Amino acid sequence: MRKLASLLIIFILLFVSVSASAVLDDTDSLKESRAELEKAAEEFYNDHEIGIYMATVRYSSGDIDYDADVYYHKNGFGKGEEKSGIMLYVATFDREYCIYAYGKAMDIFKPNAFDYVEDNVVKYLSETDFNGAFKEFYLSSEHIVSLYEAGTPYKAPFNYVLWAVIAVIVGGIAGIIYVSSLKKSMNTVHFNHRATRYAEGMNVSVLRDMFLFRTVTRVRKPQNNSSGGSRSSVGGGSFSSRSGKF
Amino acid sequence: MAAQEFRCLNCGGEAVFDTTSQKMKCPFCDAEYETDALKSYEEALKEDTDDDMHFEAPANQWEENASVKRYKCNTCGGRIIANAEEGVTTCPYCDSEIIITEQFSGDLKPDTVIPFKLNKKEAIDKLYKYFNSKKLLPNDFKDKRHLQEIKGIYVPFWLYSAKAKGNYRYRATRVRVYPLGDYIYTETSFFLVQRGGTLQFNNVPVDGSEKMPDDMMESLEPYDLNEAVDFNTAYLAGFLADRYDVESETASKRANERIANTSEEQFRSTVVGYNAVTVEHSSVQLEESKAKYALLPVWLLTTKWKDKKYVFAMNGQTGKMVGDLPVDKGKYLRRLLTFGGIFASSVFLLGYLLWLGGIL
Repeated sequence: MRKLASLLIIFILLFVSVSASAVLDDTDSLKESRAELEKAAEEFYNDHEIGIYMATVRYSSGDIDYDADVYYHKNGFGKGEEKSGIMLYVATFDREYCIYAYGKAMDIFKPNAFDYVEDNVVKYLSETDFNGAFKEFYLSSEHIVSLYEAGTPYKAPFNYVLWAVIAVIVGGIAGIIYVSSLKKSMNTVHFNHRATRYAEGMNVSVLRDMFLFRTVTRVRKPQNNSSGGSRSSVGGGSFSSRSGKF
Repeated sequence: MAAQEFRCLNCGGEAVFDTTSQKMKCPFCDAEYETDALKSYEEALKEDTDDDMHFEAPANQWEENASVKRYKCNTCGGRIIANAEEGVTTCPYCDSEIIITEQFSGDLKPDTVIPFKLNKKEAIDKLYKYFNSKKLLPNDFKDKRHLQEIKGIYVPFWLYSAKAKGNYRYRATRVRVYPLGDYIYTETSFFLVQRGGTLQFNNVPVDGSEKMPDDMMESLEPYDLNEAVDFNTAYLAGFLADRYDVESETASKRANERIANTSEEQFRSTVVGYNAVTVEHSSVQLEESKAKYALLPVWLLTTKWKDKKYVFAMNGQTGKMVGDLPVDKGKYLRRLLTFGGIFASSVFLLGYLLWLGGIL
């Protein structure tokens, strides 16, 4: 009886610890840094009110955003009533990743914040450095959330070069349109192929519209194959994500 | 051949047609005459007979050919040679203006004429203002001195009137798109559409001069034919004029084209409620067709700039101006860079402000 009770307690604790773990490494890609990442995740939760989760799996179903959403809710991720959290979900064999946000984390991780995290993480994933990628995921997420809580949400730096190029192209097109209209007003000689102003008294004596036949074709509605953005969640409400291949 | 100029009955000076008062006026003593008064005087002059004292013509007399003709100036008796179509010319000996009445009599007599409403000074002023409004025009092209070379010309036109009977057949489609289940359905209905009827055309102008560019003359439209009057050679005084050298039958092809295009367009506009309409058959028949010969007023300026000829025309009745003007490349580039630069700076500033505001 005692043995049975002990086994039961161990099982319960195991279950609790499994579901309480922020790092689920099905492919053993994070052996070196797992303890460090666990500790970082715990600190992250203590400092902020959202969870941070890291997961590796072998394969993706083809819709990694959906896979990540199912995985998040199946494993009971998320803190508070809204189950708020941010997750990096990597299918190592298919070389696909998904950065996933749910609950309050959706307010913090807007598209430019996703850009920031994605740019930093993909650098490591491309080199198959999963330890480095997940560490960077933690550091980047920490930076984004800290800025948000300080009242200065992350803003990507102003891209002077990009905007200079856009300005030159748009300004050039506008300038060409302007001088072209001035040039067009310099040439006013043209044939007048109509005699509309000399016409009057139109009398329509034949007015017949006859239906002949009808054809009907159909196409299947396109599927939703987004690579990110906001979608409905299996856990209710919606989630936001950014995914891709590396 | 007889040529004609109009002499003031008061002082003997050369009277010209005044566009402001629409009467004949002597620029020397300011006497004004109704055109009918001078017409009566012309007819009286015709009753005079010439001396008939001649000798046998020697050999190698100058023979008139199809392209040039010979006239005698009634003022000084000088012999003038002019192009076959010229109706008004100037005597090179005494500078008198001569109206060659044979060019506008008998079968060649115009049915109607629209007198000039704008005089030379008004034409030059309008042209000068027009040139100044063109931002890409080279500055030396706007030189007022060469604008003095503008000439007033009565251009021969054919005016065509007819009742056009059109008959058209179209293939039309109406498309409806709707979702149903997992599919999007597209339903296309096909129709046979017929339209027919009549459309009256009055005084469709086609220029009857080979020399005048057809596209330029068409660009000068419209003329207000309510102001057209019966032809009188008096209106030509002070201006140049040519008789037609494009026969009515030849010119009518252009009128037919314009009438057919307009008829098709007007009947096509009655086919409504379809997504696509294509013409399967169209035909136009003309009934009650007639042609009139008219002289219409044009101010013409021909100028050379950088070895290229530029022709500029103004409707002598309405003042409408047409012409292809040269473009100053330097001005073109300066405006492109200035406007483009200002626009580019605005776009850059807008992007920065949007970034500052957290929108980008």
